[in-house]
Amino acid sequence: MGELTDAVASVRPGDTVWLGNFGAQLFAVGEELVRAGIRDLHVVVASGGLLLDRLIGAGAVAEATFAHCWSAVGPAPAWNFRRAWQDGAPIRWHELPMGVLAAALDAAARGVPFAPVNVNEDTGFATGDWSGGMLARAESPFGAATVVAALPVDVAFVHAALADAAGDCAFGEPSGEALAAARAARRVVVVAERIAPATEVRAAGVDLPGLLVDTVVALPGAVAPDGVPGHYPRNVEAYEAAVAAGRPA
Amino acid sequence: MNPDVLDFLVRSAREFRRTGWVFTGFHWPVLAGEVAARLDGATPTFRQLFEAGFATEGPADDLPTSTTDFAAFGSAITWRGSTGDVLGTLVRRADLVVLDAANVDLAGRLNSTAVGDYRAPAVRLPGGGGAPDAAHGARELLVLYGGADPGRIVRQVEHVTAAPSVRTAVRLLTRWGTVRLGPAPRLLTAARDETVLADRLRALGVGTTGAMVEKAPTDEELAVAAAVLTEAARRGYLVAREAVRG
Repeated sequence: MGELTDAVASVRPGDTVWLGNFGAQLFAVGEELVRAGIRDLHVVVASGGLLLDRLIGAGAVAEATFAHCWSAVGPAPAWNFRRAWQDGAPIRWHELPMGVLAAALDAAARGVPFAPVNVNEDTGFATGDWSGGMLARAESPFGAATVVAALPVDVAFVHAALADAAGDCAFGEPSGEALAAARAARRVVVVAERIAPATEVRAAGVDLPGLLVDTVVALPGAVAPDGVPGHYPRNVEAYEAAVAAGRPA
Repeated sequence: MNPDVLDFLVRSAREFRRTGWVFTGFHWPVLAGEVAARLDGATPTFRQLFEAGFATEGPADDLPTSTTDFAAFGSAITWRGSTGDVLGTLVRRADLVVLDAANVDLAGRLNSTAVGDYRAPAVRLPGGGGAPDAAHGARELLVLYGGADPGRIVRQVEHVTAAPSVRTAVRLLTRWGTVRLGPAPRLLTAARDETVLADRLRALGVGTTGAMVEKAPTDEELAVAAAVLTEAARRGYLVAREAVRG
């Protein structure tokens, strides 16, 4: 068990940080990263959303690997993300199809340098360098394929509805790319809505085994304004307020 | 309430009800899927797959604000997995993939990346998410354009974010009718104000003769679509707020 401040303090400038989860974004971790003044991060988040947008706006991001970035409610633009691109902010971007990004994490988890993926040859991912050097063609005796480079992670912050003292976790929601990220990470911090007895976590279904977990932080409301099934709903008004706060005057 | 939008939503929902497994993308597809599920009632005709890695059957507990509003989907969720499961493999088994599009071309390619130069865009759009994987893996792709600007249908999009494979059957459903996209695009069906779409397609050199007239929405379909749009306005959907204002 640990405290969020300690877990975030262990993040170093230049680290590659995966922030979960898809649809249950750890806004509390983002706020702590901003409060602690940690910058020069490589942020990996498939569904960037307002969490990536917040970190970009705070100047914490030097590099970003993402599949999209917007407010899921509305939907509406993620204004800091939009401005960073349009104003030419000095951020190194790696834009990937979501399934390809998940495969990159999976390759790192398996300890292999790349993974074959399906990328349509008509798209800018193939005809341009939207991936920022993460895609290539590879020949093998079994055929040729587009491949994505493995994407190792220094620290993965994973959200769970429940966790027990041994680190077993029940997400309570679809895992998105959380399992792949946890397996690809040198260090895994689980931020749980509640610490529960092992029997309760097992009854809910263990999504992430404690084998992969280094630290568990208990923090109710960690993903608000996103929601957690059985705990709290997504807060539409808070989402809209966040978008309005970033909107150009 | 805007009758063009209601009609569009009803016709979109009908597409869900003729198939077994539907991959549902962000935005209009979520609303159309919910209308279809409510019309099905106690006898579901389809299941939905989502890029976050889950499946649903039947109506959501509350109208989802997006495909990732798991608390709102609630008891409709029948399976939980991963993004890799769905976008890497399962989407290729889906009977139908339904995606939203703000910019679409005659080949069925979508641009949700940028307006202007990629590295220095005039307008940076959100990006494709799982749409590139889903479009490429689709056996049948239905693109929903719910807006009122036929100029969003172009000969070739500026940037290709998502594109179907050569084996994918592609259609575009709009408030004015339905278009077959791909190697031989043509107008398939005509709905309200069909001349808007026909004029746009003729300007792009696409054939418009022989289009079927779509069956008018029933009172039940319109009532359910109106209820969903009203809830969607409450749940933050900007297009629904505009439609409800009329």
